[in-house]
Amino acid sequence: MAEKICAICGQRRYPHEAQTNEMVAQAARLPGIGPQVWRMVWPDITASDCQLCGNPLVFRACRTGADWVLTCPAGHVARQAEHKPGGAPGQWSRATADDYKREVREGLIVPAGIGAPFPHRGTIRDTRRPAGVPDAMWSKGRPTEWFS
Amino acid sequence: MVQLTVPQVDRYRLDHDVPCTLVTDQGDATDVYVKAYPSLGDDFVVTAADAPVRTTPSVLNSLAGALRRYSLSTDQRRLLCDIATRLWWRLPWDQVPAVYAPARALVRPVAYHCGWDHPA
Repeated sequence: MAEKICAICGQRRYPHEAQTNEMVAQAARLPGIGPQVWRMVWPDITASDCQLCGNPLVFRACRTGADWVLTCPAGHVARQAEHKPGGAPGQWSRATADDYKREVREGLIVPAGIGAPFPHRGTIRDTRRPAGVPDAMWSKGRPTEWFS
Repeated sequence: MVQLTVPQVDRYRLDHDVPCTLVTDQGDATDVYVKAYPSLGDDFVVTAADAPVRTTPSVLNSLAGALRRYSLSTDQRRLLCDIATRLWWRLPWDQVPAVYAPARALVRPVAYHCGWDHPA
């Protein structure tokens, strides 16, 4: 969404979150108060070093992956956060059937129930019923990859 | 050919084995990634453990509370006020009362004036 500028006073009424994210990362680099910036996003964090390698953690704003990550020079991610202010749409990323299976197994997503179609935004559905899949299960048009 | 997709917070969680905190005022991850797309129906919910939510007022209140213990330089204060003001502009109006006085003090007065007095 484009930034809206007030026609009367020139205020940016809809500042873009990408620049805000960068500014937060800039504030996180200020000497002394940096960890306070981390804690506004993750209030429970107490460590300032990587729990895996002991290197100091750094707060970064990223253009790929999560908007904010707390990571060490070795690339271990201690925390991550996505910034979705008002009006910012949720986005979806590529996945495999194994990803779905893992998410369901680990309880990250909870399917609404048997017979409900799995998420398929951007999916081209194959309407052919795979061999061995009961017609009743296929009636909602589940992606064939799920059964492979 | 089938291309499956997952909410980005789930993708990041799978990639790094760390929950992805969602800083939003649009509800929880299910609201942002599922209910916002009516064509998806109610296929599934994203669990809170996968994507814990921090609201913008809670972020601003935490920042303001922590900064009260610090003496900020002019440049530091300018940067933090700019951040607070940008976050405040994207805050839904019905959640403005959840921003406490110390956090409101970080928001530039000209933004308040514009927000309340100038027609959108």
